[in-house]
Amino acid sequence: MPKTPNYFKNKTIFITGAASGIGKSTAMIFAREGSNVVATDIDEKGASVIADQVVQAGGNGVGVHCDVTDRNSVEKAVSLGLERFGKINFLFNSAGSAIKRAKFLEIDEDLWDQTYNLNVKGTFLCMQVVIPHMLSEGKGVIVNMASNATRTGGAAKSPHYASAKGAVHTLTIGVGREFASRGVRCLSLSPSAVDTPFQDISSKEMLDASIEGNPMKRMGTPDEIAEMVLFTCSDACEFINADTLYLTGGSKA
Amino acid sequence: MPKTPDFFARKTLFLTGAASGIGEATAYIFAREGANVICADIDIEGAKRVSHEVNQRGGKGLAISCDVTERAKVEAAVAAGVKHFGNIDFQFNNAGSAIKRSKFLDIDDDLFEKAYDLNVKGVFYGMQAVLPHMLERGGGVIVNTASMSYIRGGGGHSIHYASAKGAVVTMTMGVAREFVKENIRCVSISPAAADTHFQDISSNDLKESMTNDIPIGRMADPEEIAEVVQFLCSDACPYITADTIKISGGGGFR
Repeated sequence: MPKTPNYFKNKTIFITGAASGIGKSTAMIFAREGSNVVATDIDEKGASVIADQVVQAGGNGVGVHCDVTDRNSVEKAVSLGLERFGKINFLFNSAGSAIKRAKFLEIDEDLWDQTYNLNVKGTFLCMQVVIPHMLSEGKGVIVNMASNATRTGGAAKSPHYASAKGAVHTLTIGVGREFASRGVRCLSLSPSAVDTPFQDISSKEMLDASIEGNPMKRMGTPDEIAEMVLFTCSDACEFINADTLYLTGGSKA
Repeated sequence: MPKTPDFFARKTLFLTGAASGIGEATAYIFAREGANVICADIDIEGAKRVSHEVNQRGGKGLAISCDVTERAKVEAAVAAGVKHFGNIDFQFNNAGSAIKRSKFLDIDDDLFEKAYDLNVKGVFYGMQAVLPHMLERGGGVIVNTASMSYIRGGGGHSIHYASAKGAVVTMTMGVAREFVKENIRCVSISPAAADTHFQDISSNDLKESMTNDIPIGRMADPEEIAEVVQFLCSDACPYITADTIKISGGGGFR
């Protein structure tokens, strides 16, 4: 994926939500390229399993516990990653969830707060902790997970989540522009439904409708998103910044 | 760039506007990956130069004279490319120009028609000529060059061009959705100002104001655009279609 062969070799990516889904696929694709992967997740055991798989696949991995909603936990995880690999070249804020499906009038404050803490504050905290390090290196790439739901609004199934991803989208634009002249790029990815454990909260009817409504008649695969993370972090992609990239199979939303 | 090493080896790209700028850079990046490149341009001497260079850089080149505003020429160029290489896997409809800078009230019919003939009809003819071949082969990827100007509007200097690129963005969406079941993807790219001969028509003041609008603080290099074209064509990118990819250094999409 990079312009320079072996571009990713011995470079380090810090991934949140690395134990499953898109985070896990991304860990394995960076492993293929010989990278160091700081695999963080609230599921510490899951993170360690992925770190082992990264090593088997040709990269260097470390599994680290990280609750992205807790600043101390994020700071600790970043310190551990830096201690182990000496640097963080890329940050992929993949940890996220719609928590549960709900119609607008059914969203209670608890669901609202949990959704925003995880998806928005988690992304905010990780960027605030990693950016000073990237600035001191004069280089870095941050990839955040937004969602095609920022265009659909999550009507009748997850407006709490869709609006939180709207915040991530906008946060990315701001950060992308604030640090552009100092070598740090920041962009977001906006997939339509992807076939991961994220969908465990989706009913069969919901998934069928989402597949039926997609021009390609299928969900995205986590590998397809992960390859895009790799490309956007690479030296082949140095002029894309602040924007969100849609991976939707041509979805009309 | 691809997921599978050697994915591009001996695959064929049909490229318009190959003699300079983003087209030329794309030809060399596909050459690096061992691809065949059909270098089509109205400037046949330029196309020959780029094709020769493709051969030097690990690919196979074929130079073809092609005025994309003439349907017969486009059809003949596609046919000649297929005859030579046996197949076309990718098409990059890159030929385009703002022709000249002009304030809205100064755009005459001639400038308007030239801008639309080259930027819109050229893409239309290119896709109509190559799609039957891709359908027969069971797949393909088409990349069209749009522009960040399609959302900025080009006010004060190139509404003729910006609106034509708006048509390209929309045509791309339609074609992508019409042929998605046939395993054909169609995407457009929207670069901010790139540092190519395209800017020969831009005053220093205009270049400075465009650059000031780009957070990264400079124009794009043609290679930066070309690498994205290659990624979009690759097997690492099977789920992106219909959309436009902004290569803007962080600027200009409001």
